[in-house]
Amino acid sequence: MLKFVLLVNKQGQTRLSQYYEYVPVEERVTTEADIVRKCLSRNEESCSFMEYKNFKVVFRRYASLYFIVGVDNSENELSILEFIHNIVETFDRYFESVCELDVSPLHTVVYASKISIGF
Amino acid sequence: MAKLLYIHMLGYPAHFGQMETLKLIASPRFSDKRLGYLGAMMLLDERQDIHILITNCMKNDMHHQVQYVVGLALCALGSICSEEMSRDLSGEVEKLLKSSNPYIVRKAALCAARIVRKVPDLMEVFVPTTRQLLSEKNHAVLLTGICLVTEMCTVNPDSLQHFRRFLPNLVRMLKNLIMAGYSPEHDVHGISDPFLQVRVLRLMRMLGKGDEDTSEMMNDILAQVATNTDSSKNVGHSILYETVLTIMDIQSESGLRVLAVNILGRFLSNSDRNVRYVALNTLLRTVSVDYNAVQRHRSTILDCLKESDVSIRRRALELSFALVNKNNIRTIMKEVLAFLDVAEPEFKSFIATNSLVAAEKHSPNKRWHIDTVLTVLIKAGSYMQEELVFTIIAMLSQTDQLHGYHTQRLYVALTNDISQQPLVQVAIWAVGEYGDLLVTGQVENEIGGGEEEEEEEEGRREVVQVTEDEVLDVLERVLQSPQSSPATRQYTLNSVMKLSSRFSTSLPRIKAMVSSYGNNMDMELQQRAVEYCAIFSKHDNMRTEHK
Repeated sequence: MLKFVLLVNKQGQTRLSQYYEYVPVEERVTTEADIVRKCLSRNEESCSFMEYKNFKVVFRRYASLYFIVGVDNSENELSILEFIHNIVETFDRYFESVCELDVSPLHTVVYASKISIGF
Repeated sequence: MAKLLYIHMLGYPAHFGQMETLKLIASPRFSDKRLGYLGAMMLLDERQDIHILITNCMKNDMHHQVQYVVGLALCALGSICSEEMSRDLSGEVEKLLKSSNPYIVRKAALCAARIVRKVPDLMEVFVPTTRQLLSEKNHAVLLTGICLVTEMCTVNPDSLQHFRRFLPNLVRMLKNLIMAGYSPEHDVHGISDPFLQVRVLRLMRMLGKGDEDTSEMMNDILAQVATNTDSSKNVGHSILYETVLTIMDIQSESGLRVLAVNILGRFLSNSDRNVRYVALNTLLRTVSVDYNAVQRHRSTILDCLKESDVSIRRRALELSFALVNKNNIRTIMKEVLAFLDVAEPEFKSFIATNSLVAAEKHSPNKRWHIDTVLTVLIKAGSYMQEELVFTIIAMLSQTDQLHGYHTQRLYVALTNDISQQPLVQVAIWAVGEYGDLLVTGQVENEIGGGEEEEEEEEGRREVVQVTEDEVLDVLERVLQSPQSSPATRQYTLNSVMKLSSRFSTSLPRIKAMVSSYGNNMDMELQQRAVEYCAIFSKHDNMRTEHK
């Protein structure tokens, strides 16, 4: 079960966030900051998975953008990595070679395309 | 409106936009509707009353001509459905499930899955349509249909029985996926539709858990998937991983389990970190089921302890402790103790507790046991819990022959470092009890006597010659150091008192030390000091030489 999807840039600014469960706004901000800090401090060598409180976090870096997905403990992490790659490919095809700057002002369009994937 | 959503995403309050979303949803233009639903999904939740107002709009939209509008409404319903809304609109959703347009069916299925999770009672509404969903050709519909069925099974275990009848369908589906040739629209790096494969495997896992017959039916196909999947890329790995998880959970035959553990073994030696992490994780789960198979990979696991990545190290550590038994405890503990030096603080207390437990259960002889405990104490002393101090003391007092030996070691450790409280407490206690052994330099060496290997490993320990004054010096240092906790000071005072009957020449000095605490601020210390002074002055005739 997906809990949330975040797109964060290298400076730690959230470019896109989608939550699939209700989480109050203050809690969202603190959790996001915490997770982002941990992800940014990982280097190339380390693992793409992390445990945070009671759920798992899967992330991958594409150029200057970090794709972070939070899942519960029963999910297959490797297939979530595939899923992240799938999202990136979809964006790529939609925006014709996407980069971070495309994501931020056009976030409504991004949302719309996410709806069309069905999540 | 779009900007408002962006602001909300960053975490600032944006409640004032909610009425606007309603107006946008009601407008006939598609882009407005899209924005309105998006806003609704993000800004509204069950606690607001406004969401009920959307219900009517949604109902109308679900009958709309344009499929995208219908899709929008379904999506929104899925995200923010509350109990009343679900009950109202589930009938509509069910009708849409039967529609011929795959786009709509897909969305309706996902929406139904959400509703089922929210309101489990409504499940019966959707059960009849699932059969049709599972025999569709369109992969997307299949995927969402399986999602729906999985959701139902999670929510209501009784439905498992009902869905077991569909197992042949699922098996056939998987077979088609593997056997079928290249199909461009579902292909990911050479494997056709891995997402569908993974979902089907997961559903099979739920259906097969605890049920002999279903598990038997799955054995063949699982073996086939395991052997045929190409694992050069991550995609293949994820499918194999899911297969292994399924094999572990159902009542599979032993040959299949061996296959699964072999796959995990291959993962462990893979160069990709993620795969290794996943393998370690799964091995932890299988240790309880199949102990011996995991033992074979012990050396690889111990190597993982030296990895630079934190998550892998933690998993390897847990796995190592799970694997400990009488034969391999020495090798494992050696690695673990080496790891203790470089571990982060949060690991240290975990390691300390577990090492002690493991050592107690499986240590080959007493001397090794005490050695290990002392090493752990010295390296991770400040991270240990208070209760462990008592356990260690109890253990030390039971091993009669080694009193001299461990007192020596503890004394040496004490002279080096008096900041780790648990270590200091144990050391002080030992010095107090067996101070005479320390001074006379007696070290018993008969237990586990002269195992060549052991001596070489641990190196010869030198027997330290100390005088009574030196011992008292150290104790005084501890008493006066600001790093000592009140409990430590109490231990020290007790030890000094005990030494008064074990040491022969330092009586005046001990008397002076004890009486100096007679007017200390700490009640406990003061009381003890005064009582001990009373023993000195009034009951000196009871003093006998300690043998």
